[in-house]
This record gives sequence, structure tokens and C-alpha cells, in this order.
Amino acid sequence: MGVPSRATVRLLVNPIVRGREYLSELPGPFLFVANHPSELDAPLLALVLARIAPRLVAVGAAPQTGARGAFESALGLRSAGRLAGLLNRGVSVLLFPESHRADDGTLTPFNLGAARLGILTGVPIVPVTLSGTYRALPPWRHLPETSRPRVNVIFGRPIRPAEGSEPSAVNDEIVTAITLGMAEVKNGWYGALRADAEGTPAAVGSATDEGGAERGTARWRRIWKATAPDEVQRRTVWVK
Amino acid sequence: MSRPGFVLSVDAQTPPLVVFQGEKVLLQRLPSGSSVLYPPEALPGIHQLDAEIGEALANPVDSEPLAALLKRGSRVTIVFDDLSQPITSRTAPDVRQRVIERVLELAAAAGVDDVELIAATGLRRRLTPYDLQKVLGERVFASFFPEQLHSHDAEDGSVVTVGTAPDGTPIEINARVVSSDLVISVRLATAVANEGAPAVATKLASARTARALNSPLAGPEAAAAYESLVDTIGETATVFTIDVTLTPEPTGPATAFLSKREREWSITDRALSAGIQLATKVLPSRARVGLTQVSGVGFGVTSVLAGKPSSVHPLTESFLAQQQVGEVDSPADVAIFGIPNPTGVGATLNPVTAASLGLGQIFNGSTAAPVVRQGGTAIFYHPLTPWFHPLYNPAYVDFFAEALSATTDPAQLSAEFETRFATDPWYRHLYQTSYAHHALHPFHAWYSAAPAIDYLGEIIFVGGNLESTRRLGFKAATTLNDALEMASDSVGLEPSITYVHGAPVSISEVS
Repeated sequence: MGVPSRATVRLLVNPIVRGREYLSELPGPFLFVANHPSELDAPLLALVLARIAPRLVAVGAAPQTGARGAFESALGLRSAGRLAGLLNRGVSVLLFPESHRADDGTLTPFNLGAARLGILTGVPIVPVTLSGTYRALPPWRHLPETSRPRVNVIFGRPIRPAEGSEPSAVNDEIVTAITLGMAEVKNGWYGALRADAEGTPAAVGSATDEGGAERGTARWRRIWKATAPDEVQRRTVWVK
Repeated sequence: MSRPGFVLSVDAQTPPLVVFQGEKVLLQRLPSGSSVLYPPEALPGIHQLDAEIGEALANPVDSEPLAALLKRGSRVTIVFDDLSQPITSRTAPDVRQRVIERVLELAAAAGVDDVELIAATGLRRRLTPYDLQKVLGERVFASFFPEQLHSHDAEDGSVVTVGTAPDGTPIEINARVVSSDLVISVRLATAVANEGAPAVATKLASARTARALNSPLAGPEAAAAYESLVDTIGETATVFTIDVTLTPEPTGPATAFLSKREREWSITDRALSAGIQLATKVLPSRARVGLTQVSGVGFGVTSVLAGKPSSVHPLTESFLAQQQVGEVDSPADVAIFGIPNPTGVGATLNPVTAASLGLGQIFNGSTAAPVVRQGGTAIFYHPLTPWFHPLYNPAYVDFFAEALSATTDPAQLSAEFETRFATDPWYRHLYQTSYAHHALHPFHAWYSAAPAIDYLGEIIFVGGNLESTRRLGFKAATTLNDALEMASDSVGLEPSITYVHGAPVSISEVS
């Protein structure tokens, strides 16, 4: 299917954005690094970043197949040199550094390219957690579900890698920030911060898979969990 | 340094000037020879607020950095200003949210689990969940509401006596605050005296204490009762304050022209002004309420200071004083003030609040000394419509109908009516379980206006509702000329006139 446009995304999902104020005060460009559960991610981020990064180039690390992949590799569209050139010209770049996409939308290991690009250009790296997009638009659907589902977009504080930093260390920092965002969706903001500070592996670890299912369980069970509907958000007239 | 304020002498060339009158914005031509006092233009807001907050918390005044004060397992209470200070932005997060999120991030990293957030409401109404979410943001709200995030309740029994006032009144403060190891107070201010007393305890006292210390019979020493509660409250609680100063008026592109000097209006400003004039004529009064509110975008943050309250407070005060007009050369016979509806409250001001807000400008206005001489006349622009918010102002209705129609003298009000209002179980019920101001709130608002009423000779409301203006003990006039005519008995036919331009400082709910 084709990539949905910003306007379509606005109609189809209800984005809840947190942490955008960290960015609105800083001059661009930024290197956004996000997890990639769904095809909805790039247009969704283009929508919520419309003011902060009016021009946003989205690039995924997972290799493209077919004619498009051949075309991209022939022109070097995904090369570090081209992306660094874009950043130097003031265009923000959105990277999805997961080397492959999990079938249930969970986080998979990151390619170090994003961290390297950040160190190379000195542009602030902004970790972005996307949550709920897998459920809103799983791979087998062409349109998101009709209930205008909530999707969470959580921006972390910008990371400014020092010159000569170790890419794996910077990458760890990005992964931690994205994991913290996922924990925030699950356990609430302060709970996630506390668990992160304590280094409690249970709380943070279980949050790494979005559906809450442990790895190693049957595929259908992971997908079943990842697509479980939200708790019903009833609107009440009477305030408590 | 922003552009300083100045005094304009009105002559034949002076265009009509902007005057706020409740939900209306008038263009008023002033008599020749009058002075117009323009406040200095607002300082530009801080652009990188996040960095500024981080800097303030890392390098506080006379205190260790906040990160060092937060210790594993300690009991921390965060106290923040309620809607007596404006919501600073309509689209971006409020500055309280920005500061408190930063504080909580430090607290989480330090291993603090026992955190409670209390809105320092004093005798004002509780904050609704919607208000709290607007002030603190969804993250903080979802993490702490309702058990660890609530408003101060002055009628709740859970208070601790931490001292006695000179007259023997016990000073009772919120028990959670007293039992904390660290109290972090987040305070906002738009103008001098708007920030309130240095002691955060004044907004966290019990109704009994507040009543005794605010009584017109209490005397000046009562105000000193909180002096020992500035840096510490009780035996364990140390106070760490974070003071944020705001631009005095909302800075939005659409209504910015209202605080500009009329001579400098651009074509766009004139067009907008004509638009507002037209809308004022066409729209019904309820629809006009939002007219000047919708377009305001927000308040800029001009400084963030943190540290020991007794050291930070004077610095904040002097920073705010810099932004004010200097001394007035000589106080005028007649002073004119416009009173707009407050932004963010979303309703018209009731007559008691409007009067106390206007009269508050005499001593705590944008100038250091009163702009009007003793025995002079103050002319205010406000309709004083006898309308009270059904949810917030139930005690005001009876205060206006029963108490004020009997007497306007504070001592008599205090002696005859205060006890009945303060002990009424229905008011208490509404205060504790609904969103009503405390029954003592109208009394304190009126007492705060009393010194100005004593100081002035005549008080005239232009466009004021005849009945409610009389009940408050003032006079109503239809036009400015009528008002000056009425004042001529006491100030003569050729009085010196000063118009204080713009919205009054502290244009919010009266504390």
C-alpha cells in the first residue's frame, strides 16, 4: 500500500504527544531516532513535527526489497554522506535504525548507523518512542481501525554526543530513552522514571516488548497481545 | 532591558486610548492635560526555558543544588501556585509543568518514592481534575492524581500547630507539609506584591488561622506571624523555592496592540481595534466574555530563580521592581483605571472581586507610590454586573445580598457576619467537596480593599450597574464626563488626572 499522507493520519488516529516542548525551544535540525512498529510511523511523526521540522526526511535501516531497494542503493539515497549533507543543510532526518522489523511490532536491535551519524554531524539526537501504532495499523491492514485509536508519541530529551564518543555507548543511551518511553506508556511517567533510576530489570524489561508478551512465546500470542484493544476510555460528564 | 515606561500628556493630537471595561475594550478620549501612565514594555521571554530551569536548579541561591537535597527515602512535598496565577500558555505546557517535571526527574533519579503535590490554594477553591491537568500536564497528573496530587484543604482536620501568632492564635499548617523533609515551592509572579508573602505557609494554613490573621481587628503584627516559617516549616521541613517571573500581560500577536502606545499603532492594529469595537457592539454580553481572552497566546517567562526562600524572594522582588514605572512625580487628584476580565478564568468577574481587584491597584499597582492623592477620586471602568459563578462563588452571593446590603464597614462585617459564614456547614461542604471558594474568601477580598476605600475620597465606576455599585458603597456614572462632573465636588472643576494604561497587574482570581 502507499504511504498515508499527513492529512489522512490526522483523520485516522488520535496522537498523544509528550515532550515536544524540549524541541520547540532549540534551533534545528534534529536527528530523530524512533522505533518502527508500523507503516504509520513516518507520516505520524511528520504530522506531529510539522512546526519543528517542516522538512523531514525519513529513512529506515531495514533493507528495502525489489525495484525500490535497487533504485535506492543505486543512487545512494540511504548513505551516511547524503544524510549528513541533509543535516548540514538544516533538514531534519528521521531514522528507524532497527535492522529488521519484528512481526509483532516490538523493539529489535538497533543498527549503529544512527549513533554514528549523530557523532559525525554533531546534530542533537532525539529519541522518539512510538506506541500504539502497531495496533492502529498492523502490517496486514490497509487502513487504521475506524475508532480513531490513540497513539503515543514520546520525545526524550535531546542527546548531544561528544566528538569521538563510542557509537555503541550513544546507541545504548538512545535505546534506554526509547525503552523509558515505552515504560511510561505502561507504568506511568513517574513509575517509569523510578524504575529506570533503580535499574529494575523487570519493569523496564517487560516494557521493551510493546505487547507485554515475553519473547519465546508463540507468534500468535505475541500478535494477539500487541493488538489488544485499549482499555475503554469513557468520557464522564461528572467530575470526580 | 526593555523599553521603559513613560508618561504622556494628553493634547488635541492624542488619539482615543484603549480602556478595558469588563469584557469590553473601549476607545476613550481623555480631557486635555491629563497624564497617561504607560508601563514599561514587557521583557522578552526566555527562549530556552528548559536550559534555564536546569541552570536554576543546579546553581541555587544560598542552597545546595536540588539534586543534592533530594535523598533516597526522603519525604518530599511539592507545593505549587493555583489559578491565582495565570495559565502561562494555551498551546504549550504551563511553566509549572515544566518546572515540576524537571524537579520530579531529579527526585526519581535520587530515589524518592514518597512525593506529594499540593496546590497552594489558601482559601480559594479546589482545582478541578481538568485544572490540575492543564497546570501540571498529563504526565504528572496521570502519575499522581488523585492520592498524591490534590489541593490544600483549609477545613480538613489534618493540620499541625507550628507556632503561635502574637495574639495567641495557633498557626496551623497542612500536616503533610510540616511532616515533609523537603518542601519544594513553585511560585509564579507577574508583578511586585503579586507573588505574595515570602512564606509559603500562608497559602497552606487552616481556615481558623487564616481567619484570625486576616481579620480587620488583627492588627499589623498578625502579618508577621508567618515570619519564622519562611525557610523552614516546623521541625523537619526545609523549604526550597523556585520563583518564576512572568511578563505582566499576555503576549499574543492578536491582542498585543492593546498594550502598545496608541500613537504607534500600525494599520493592522487599527483594523484589529475596529474589529473588536464592532464585535463588542454586535455580540451579546455572554459571547463577549471570551473576546479578548481567546486571542491571548500566553505569558512569557522572564526569569527563573531557585534556592533558599529568604534569599530568593528579595531578588525576585527587585527583578520585578525593575520592570515597573518609577516614582510618580506628584499624585493626581483623579486616577482612572480600566478593569478587564481576567484571562483564563473564563467568566466575568463578580462585583466584589472586581472592586477589590480595582482598589488593589491603588497601593499595589504598577507604581511604587499611589498615583492618586489621599482624599482624591478613583474612577474605574467595570460593569459590576451582579453575576456570580454558580460553582465557584456560592458564599459571594450571600455576602453580596445579605452582608454588604447591611454594612460595608469591615469591622462590622467581621463582627456580625463572619462567624456565621465561617461556621456554615453548607459552605464548608461546597468548599470541601465541590469547587466553591471558602466562605471567608469574600470577606478577605473586601478587607483587602478597605485601606484603599479609606484612602480615597470618592470611588466612581463608569458603566457600573447602579444597584450593585451603590450596594458596594460607590457611585455609578454613565460616561467619563459624568464621572468627572460627580468628582468635581471634592476635587474641583480642573483636577489633575492620571490614567493608568493597560490591564492591572495581578489580573487573576483574588487571593
